[in-house]
Amino acid sequence: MTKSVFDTRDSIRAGELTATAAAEDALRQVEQVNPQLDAATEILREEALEQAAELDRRLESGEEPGPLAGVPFTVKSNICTLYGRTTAASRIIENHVSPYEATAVRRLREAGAVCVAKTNLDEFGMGSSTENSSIKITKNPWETNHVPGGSSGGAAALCSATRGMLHLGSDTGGSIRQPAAYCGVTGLKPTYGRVSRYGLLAFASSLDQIGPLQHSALECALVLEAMAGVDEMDCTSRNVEVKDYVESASRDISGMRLGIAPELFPEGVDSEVRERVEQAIEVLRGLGAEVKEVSLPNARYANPAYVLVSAAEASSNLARYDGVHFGHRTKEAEDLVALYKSSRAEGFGPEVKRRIMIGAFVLSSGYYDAFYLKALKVRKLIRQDFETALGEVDAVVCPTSPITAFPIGERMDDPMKLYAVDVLTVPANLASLPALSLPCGLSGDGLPIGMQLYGRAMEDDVVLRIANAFQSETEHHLQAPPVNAWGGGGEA
Amino acid sequence: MCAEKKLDPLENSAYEAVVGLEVHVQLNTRTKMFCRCENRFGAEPNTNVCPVCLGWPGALPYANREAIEQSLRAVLACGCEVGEFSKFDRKNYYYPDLPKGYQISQYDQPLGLGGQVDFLLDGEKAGVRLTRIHLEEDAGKNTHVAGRPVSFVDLNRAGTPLLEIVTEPDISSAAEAGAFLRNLRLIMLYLGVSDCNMEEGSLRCDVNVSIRPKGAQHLETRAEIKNLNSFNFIEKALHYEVSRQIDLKERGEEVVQETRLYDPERDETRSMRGKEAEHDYRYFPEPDLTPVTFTREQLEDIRSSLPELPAARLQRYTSELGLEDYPADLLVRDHEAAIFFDACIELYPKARSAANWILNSLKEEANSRKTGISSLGLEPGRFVDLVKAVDDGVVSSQKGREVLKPMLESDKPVAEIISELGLEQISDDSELREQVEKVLSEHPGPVEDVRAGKKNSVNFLVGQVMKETRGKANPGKVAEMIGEILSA
Amino acid sequence: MSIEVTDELVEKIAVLSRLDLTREELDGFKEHFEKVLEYVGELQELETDGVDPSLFTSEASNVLRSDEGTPSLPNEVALRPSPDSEPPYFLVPRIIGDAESSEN
Repeated sequence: MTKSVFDTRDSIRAGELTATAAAEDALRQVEQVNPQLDAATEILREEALEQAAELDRRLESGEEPGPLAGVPFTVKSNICTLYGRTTAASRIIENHVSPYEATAVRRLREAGAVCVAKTNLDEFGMGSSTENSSIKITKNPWETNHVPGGSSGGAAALCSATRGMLHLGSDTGGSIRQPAAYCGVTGLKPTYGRVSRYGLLAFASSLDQIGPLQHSALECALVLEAMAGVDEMDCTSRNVEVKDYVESASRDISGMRLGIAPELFPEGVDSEVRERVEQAIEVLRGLGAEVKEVSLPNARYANPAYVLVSAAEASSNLARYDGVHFGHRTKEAEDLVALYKSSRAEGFGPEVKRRIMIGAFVLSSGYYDAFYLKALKVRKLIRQDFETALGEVDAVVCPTSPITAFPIGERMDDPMKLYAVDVLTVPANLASLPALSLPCGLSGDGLPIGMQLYGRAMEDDVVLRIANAFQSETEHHLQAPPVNAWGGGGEA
Repeated sequence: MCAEKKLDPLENSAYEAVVGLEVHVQLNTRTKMFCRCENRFGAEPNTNVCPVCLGWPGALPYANREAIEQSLRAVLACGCEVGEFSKFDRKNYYYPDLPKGYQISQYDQPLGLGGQVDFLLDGEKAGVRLTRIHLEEDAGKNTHVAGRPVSFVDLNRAGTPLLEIVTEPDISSAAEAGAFLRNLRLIMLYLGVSDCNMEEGSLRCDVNVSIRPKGAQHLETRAEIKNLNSFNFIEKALHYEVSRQIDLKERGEEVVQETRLYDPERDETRSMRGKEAEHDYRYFPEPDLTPVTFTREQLEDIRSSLPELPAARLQRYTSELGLEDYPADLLVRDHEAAIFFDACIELYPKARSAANWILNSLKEEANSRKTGISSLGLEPGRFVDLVKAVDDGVVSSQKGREVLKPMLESDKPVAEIISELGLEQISDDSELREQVEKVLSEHPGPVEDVRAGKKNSVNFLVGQVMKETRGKANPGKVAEMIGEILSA
Repeated sequence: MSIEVTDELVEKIAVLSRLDLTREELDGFKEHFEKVLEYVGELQELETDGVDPSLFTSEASNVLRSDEGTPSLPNEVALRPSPDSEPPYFLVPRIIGDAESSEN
């Protein structure tokens, strides 16, 4: 079966497919590719089939089981689900089963979707390769010696290699978009506040958002529609109307203004990446979009500012993992302080420790103004840059990552090399804007290249619409990776 | 209050004390500050908890509007400046009663800055300036059992709203600290924002103490004393700590800046070992919450809706209602009594009678039941009926007290209780005259004395009449009648 | 601002972060600190005097809830994820200093 989420949904609604059969198919796909990809941290066969059977009972009795009835979905392991472990790929909560559920997950479940697997990530979302997982390293289905990107690498790899499922990831500095680009799928980081963060294990609270990784912008629109909206458990969720995203994404883009900022095509961008994105921009121009240059003078400072802000928040957000009320507690602690220090030292991986240390440093007395406060001021300048640019155009187009997926291990020796990969994605998080990555071709090595669209706050529909217009015209998003669950090569 | 007066170490000393307080007031919202658990004392441990106040991974705070409104009432009542923008910050430190590893508090933009609390100290006007008032979440509670190497953690209190009131180091004695705190407590009670129950910990206080040569202007190294949960302990701890610091200086040693714990059993303060000496709370704005902003109009609305505060009430009782200073002060200090009193004088404007009856008889009844006046369940209307009955001579003041008890035990009208107990005064003059004449004829000696001008004998005769009538005569009237008869 | 990353500084941060680190790890973090400081150093070239820091992400303020309760969790659920408990309490090694509660 090689079909879209819409096909799965419609077949179930039409009674041509049972929820159980859909779940079985999804489980089969995940079980088939997972030995090669290590994308799922847990496959929830028993629980998923139980849920599906219950849905089938309700469907049979004529109940209205929700708009996504029977559609299988996967959840990144830093998002709370009632079954399956929510570990953030960290030893410090390696056996943690959340006693409550994230709002985004609850909304999908209440719409009738069935969670079939939890997916791998860089520990607590800290990384761009999924190599920083305490559980296992996920592989890229296009080239299994290469990373899938990160931190939502599990979701991206699984999405790429399977069909007909929803995948939830989270994005703090590019963690949905960059793996989406590396795995040749479409990923949306919604506007900050569009989707509730309740139940998302915080990395950097002011930057984190939950979003979908899918095969098309329309599938992303469907997931967003089901998840978005104000939540009484997250006061940073915004009370702004939830649009019919599928409908609004389906409109054409003639007359839309697209901005190109030279600052988002910096020197480090690989020439093949640059070429593919430029070709894609030509396609959009051909669809009636007007293209003009805009300026984001402070964008080059985004990554350093991001490194400081995200680490500062992380150092505080991860303080709760101290071995007292939940999670790992060291076996040998003479006193309370030793218990804290050893539990945390044993539980966190090296990259998480690095970020905690940097974060504690930039907030500590004597350094706050020079680093943290400075970064917040730069953040303000970047926000203002985008406000100005997006006053002139409807969206800004740029590459998602300067490079394509890199070989596993290549950037592990120097964390700074890994940070550099985020330069084009972090501005969206700093500016709280919606941003989407979509495939726009392959490199000479056969690795996917992603193009990125930045939109105005709460205009998630606009980036979805541009992406959908592109995908209606091209077939990059339909190309199948060598490792896939339907035995297809080339096109799906 | 009733503590034995220990010798004040500052008396005849070359030093003076410089004291500042950090007062914590638990707000009495229905739910906690950042989650929807009940804000209640006394529940089974770890049952008023949820993912948010347990600090579970992924949970987020959501601020309680009522807590902010209550805080603003307190802030405005204390005369603080309120900025148009305020925010919450994270204060990062590790402790088992703090499940998130940080406390949501307020750092550089608290709800209130400045302010002052005025009060009377030994009849003199005094005032303590406030530095700031901010709103934060309380921590849980750790308990220890002797002989076991563990501590128990209860998070019921974690996340409950707590107002922190910080004073300038304006206080120079234990008595002044006590007077300030009592007055602050009263203000909070009047505002209805806290029950300020020290036993249950809803009013707590840390004390910063240093000493310096008398008359000096500079501040010297201070010690902070924690764990003071009664007025008595605060005064004792201050006395102990000041003595300790004087002894140190006299021996040529230095006071160390540290946190000390008051041990009421040994009546001493001890250095808190084991706490990391170096603190660096790494405050930063709480990204999970939105800032709070106020318009001048909103603040004005709150200010104008503040209830009458203790100082204004005292003023009204003395100058408008004509109460003496002493009973007026007693009423004001007992918020429940003051509320009851105000309800009574709405119905019956003889303020002195009502005050008298409340402060003597009614408070006695409340005290004997170890409760407050409001818990007696007495309707002000029924109480006024009794006061009126006494004022009108229906029942004697003495017998009136006997009426009060059954009033508290049944809903019967006051008149009915008086008549059931047969306590009405003899209002029929001819009946009374008969009794008086009988007594006069039975006591010719005293009658002679009265005629000779001995006033005391009138009282004796009145007493005899009261005895004969089993207290149902109006003594004033009896005396008048005796005078009439004997001068005839 | 130029900062010399000393052993003491890294050790102090490790204490603040409650991380028990080996000498080798501390040395590694020291090197990392230096690299990060160099990387973020370019922020210093940006003139930000008079720029309002972006303290909060959204423009929203006063997103508050009403003072209405929802049921709390049963004790056994609250204690379930805990590594050590003795119902109805969480259990930790004895706290030195005998403070009933942390400071506020």
